[in-house]
Amino acid sequence: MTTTAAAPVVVATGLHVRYGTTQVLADTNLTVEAGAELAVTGRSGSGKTTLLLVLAGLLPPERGTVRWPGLDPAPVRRRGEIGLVFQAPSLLPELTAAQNVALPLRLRGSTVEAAGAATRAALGTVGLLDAADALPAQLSGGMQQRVAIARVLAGTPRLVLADEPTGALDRDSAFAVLAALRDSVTATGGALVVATHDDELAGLLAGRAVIDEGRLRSGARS
Amino acid sequence: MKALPWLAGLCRRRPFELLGAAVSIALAVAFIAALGGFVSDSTAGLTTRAAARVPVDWQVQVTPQGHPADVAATLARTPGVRAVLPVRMAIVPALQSSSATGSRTTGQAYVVSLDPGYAEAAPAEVRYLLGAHDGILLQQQTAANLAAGPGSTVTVSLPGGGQKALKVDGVADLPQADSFFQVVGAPPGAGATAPPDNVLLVPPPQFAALTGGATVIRQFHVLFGHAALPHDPAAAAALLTQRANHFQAQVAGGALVGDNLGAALSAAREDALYAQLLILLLGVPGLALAAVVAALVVALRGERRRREVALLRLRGARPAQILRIVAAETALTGGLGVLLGLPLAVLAVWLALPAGAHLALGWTVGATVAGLLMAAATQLGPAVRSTLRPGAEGIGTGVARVQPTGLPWPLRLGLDAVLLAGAVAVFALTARGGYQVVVVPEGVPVATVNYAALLAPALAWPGLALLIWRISIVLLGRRTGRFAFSWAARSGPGRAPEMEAAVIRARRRVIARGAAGLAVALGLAASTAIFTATYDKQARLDVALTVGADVAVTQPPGAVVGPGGGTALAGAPGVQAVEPLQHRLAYVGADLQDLYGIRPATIGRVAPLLDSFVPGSTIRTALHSLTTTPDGVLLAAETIHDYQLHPGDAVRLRLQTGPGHTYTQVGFHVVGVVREFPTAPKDSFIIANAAYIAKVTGSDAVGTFLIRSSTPTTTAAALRQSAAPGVQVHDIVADRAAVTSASGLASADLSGLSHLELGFGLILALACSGLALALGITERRRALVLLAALGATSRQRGRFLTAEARALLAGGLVGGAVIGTAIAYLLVKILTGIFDPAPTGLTIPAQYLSALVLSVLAASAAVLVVFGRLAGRAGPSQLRDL
Repeated sequence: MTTTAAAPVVVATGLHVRYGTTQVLADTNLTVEAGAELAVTGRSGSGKTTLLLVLAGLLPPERGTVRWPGLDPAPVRRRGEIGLVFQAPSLLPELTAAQNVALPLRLRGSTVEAAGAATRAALGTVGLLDAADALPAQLSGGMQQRVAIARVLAGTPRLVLADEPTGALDRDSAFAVLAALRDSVTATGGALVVATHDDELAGLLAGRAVIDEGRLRSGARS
Repeated sequence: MKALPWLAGLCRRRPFELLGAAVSIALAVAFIAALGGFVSDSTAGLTTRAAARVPVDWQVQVTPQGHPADVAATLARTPGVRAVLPVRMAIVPALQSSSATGSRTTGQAYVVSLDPGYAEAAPAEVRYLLGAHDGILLQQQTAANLAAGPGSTVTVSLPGGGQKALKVDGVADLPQADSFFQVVGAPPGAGATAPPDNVLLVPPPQFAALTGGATVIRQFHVLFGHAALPHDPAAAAALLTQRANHFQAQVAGGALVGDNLGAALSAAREDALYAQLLILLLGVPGLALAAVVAALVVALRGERRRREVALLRLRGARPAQILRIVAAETALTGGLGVLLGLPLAVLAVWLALPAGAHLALGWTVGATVAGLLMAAATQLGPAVRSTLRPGAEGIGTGVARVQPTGLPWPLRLGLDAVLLAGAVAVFALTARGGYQVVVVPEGVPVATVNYAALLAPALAWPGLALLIWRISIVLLGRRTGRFAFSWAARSGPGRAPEMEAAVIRARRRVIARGAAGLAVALGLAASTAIFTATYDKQARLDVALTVGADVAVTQPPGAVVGPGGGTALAGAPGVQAVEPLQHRLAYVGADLQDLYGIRPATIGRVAPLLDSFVPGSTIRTALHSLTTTPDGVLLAAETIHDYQLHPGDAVRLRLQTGPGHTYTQVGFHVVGVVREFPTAPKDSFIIANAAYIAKVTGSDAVGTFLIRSSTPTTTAAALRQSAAPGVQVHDIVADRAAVTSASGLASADLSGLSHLELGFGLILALACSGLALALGITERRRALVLLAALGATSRQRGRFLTAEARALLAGGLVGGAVIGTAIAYLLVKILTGIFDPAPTGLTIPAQYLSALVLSVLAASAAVLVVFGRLAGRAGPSQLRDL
């Protein structure tokens, strides 16, 4: 399926992914254009997470191809242009909230100062500037997830792939976080793909796709 | 859930985990079983060696009321007796010789009658030097005193009056004269009597004619079959004592038994006790470390184990069912460990111990049981804890638990300080007692071991390990420490040293624990290596002191070879320097002592000289004093004390001077005290200037030429080929095998144990470093996958691991050096009794230690590469777990 008529950020064609004997993705096609916001919904185990991992380039499909025409062709630099939010907060337990946010920037070559400024801005966006020096274990599950989202925001990615990003958040925080992610991709001219069970949340996004038995079909809204 | 399907699945799906656990158990099993092989072999060897050192086992002396024939018959019936050799001896007033230079007369002399087969049956008692092997033989010293040799005529002053001239057929030495002429029946601790200076050996038919009118001492020298003796020296000594008692009861006062073999075996009890101490001091830490390795291997699977147990419980398995499964798994790994360990032990025994050594049944059974118990303790124990823990939180992933960063409870309680204070206190007490750890009183069947002295290393091991843990935690917690380990200064694009440092700081407790574990492993290998190297050096020194130099060429009695004789020797292959050493006899008051004439300025070129030889001074100072005082002498401390002498005092000694070799008073000045010197005996002796001795005695005859050689064996072989009859050539290599330590513990024994220790120490150190790193990587697996998902390259992920590895290795290596040195120092001090001479410091085996460090670094690098790559691999399941 295709989201909009703008230049594509990521194009997936004929994806097949199998875990053992279980077919997770079967002949799945997806093109996400710049500026697109896409909600991917489906039952548990329907392949949402797998699709996001494939789109992120972390999981090679058994068959089919993924291209990122809107991103840097060099894989290492391209990874910096893709922001991933996992279901679980997925923070490094030894680093503070600020360090967790700054880590991808530092790995990409940002100076300590530049990474620090971006980190403070991102933590401010998710309302956790005061918790910058706290270790993940000192934060609640929701706060940890907001730190993980701040980590994505700080990197100003052109493609944001979020897997149930608001599962651990209250409604207000969930909407605020989603707004922040939308603002981020709007600012970079990129695209946002959110895998979610939450119909209300999915409804806030411009596009929607449903994944069922490994096949993707278009949702109700564009 | 049935155990068998579970085990089948385990074998199919995780064979390497299973094998890893089994191999760790196998290491422990092999170590214990091989150690048992050493114990069994060395205990048996102690009896054999002690017995082999005895020239004749019993010296049975017929009392005035005894009948020689009855005594001989009773001896022949005594169990185990192999040979009964009749010996007679009597004292005659004097021996005399005449030559062109004048006549010489000795004081009282022993005339000894030996049967023709005596020397063959008891080869250690008689050594033929010159001339015939039978007939009239002069003892070496007597020949020198009389300036006689084969073909000379000596006149015996007969006890009943008159003289009898005899033609000398040969010259022989009685190497064991001390025991040969011992007073049989002297009470224990009575002290040795000096052997006679003059001895004439005669055939039995001539004995009566020479000793008529004198009191004849009739002895039977008895030899036992040593193979039938018990392996334990104490048991063998007890058996010999029982036989002696039984014999004496049978002859009813007709004979006294000089039980040389019993005395030697009794002394060997000390060796047996030292062997036990060695096993305790070197073996037990190795065993503990093997258990630690096994625990580390199991810990690698700990997280998975917790999840498995939690899942099983979630699926309704009862604790008993879960424990049955884990017990079956434990039995499988334990059994496999034993099956692998026993062949490994056979291999270790074959490689490390002398030929003929084998596994001992008792120890092998013990090793099997220990292996199974170790499997149970390391696998079943954690499983029981997981099973009994309420809830199923082990299943969850989420944010990994943060390792606690504070001090662990043993350090909070200051256990390291307590243990080390205890070790220091015990060691100080042991030092105050002169390191008398083993006390074997002569003639008393009970030997005592100060086992409390072992508390010093026993407390020091855990104390030092905890101290290393504490210091590592503190250092890694400091900003400077963190940055030093992460090499923050080398910051560059794509590097995040402050992040690496933060991770190290957060994980400092677990890293420090790994460092302490590695330090203990390295400490075990290092302490054993240092102890062995120190023992080896002292053993070499012992041999060097006995031989005198790399090669020693000793002239026969009566030969007059001046210092110029060394020129001919200098041409032999490998010879680097030759130094003449005069040997004379001199009377200090009534004591006849060995006197050595040296060239103090050059003797150090060939002979091993240590400061410990001259108490209260340095060897350099002592030799300088001799150089600047031509008539100077170094005297034994005992002589200085007994004769109330002081440095600077004039002293008059009696030496043989002039062509007639008559004893004449010669003036000397005391310049110092000497305790040991190459070739000198362990009791009193004198060191003087060779030039002065030559001047006052009119003879520059050299007793021994000491040679420094780059190839002692080759040099000695060449010199033996060209040597004149009677010249003896010794070399440090050939003589080494024959020299044992002060306790009699042969170096072969210790080398067997140290080979075992060094081999297992290396393996355990490699295992510890590898496993500690692998455990750290496994614990960080999720973090590594996350880093990969965040875009970190494999090089960047590797930096996080190497920063941690650097911290662990740095702590482990420094800690290992500290532990190794400290424990080696304790071992050397506590086991001072097995060193001869006592070492003045530790000997560092740089080669082995370098190889050890390089091996550990190589193994760590391999683990980092392999495990780092595996752990960073972001497969579907790992990514979905994020």
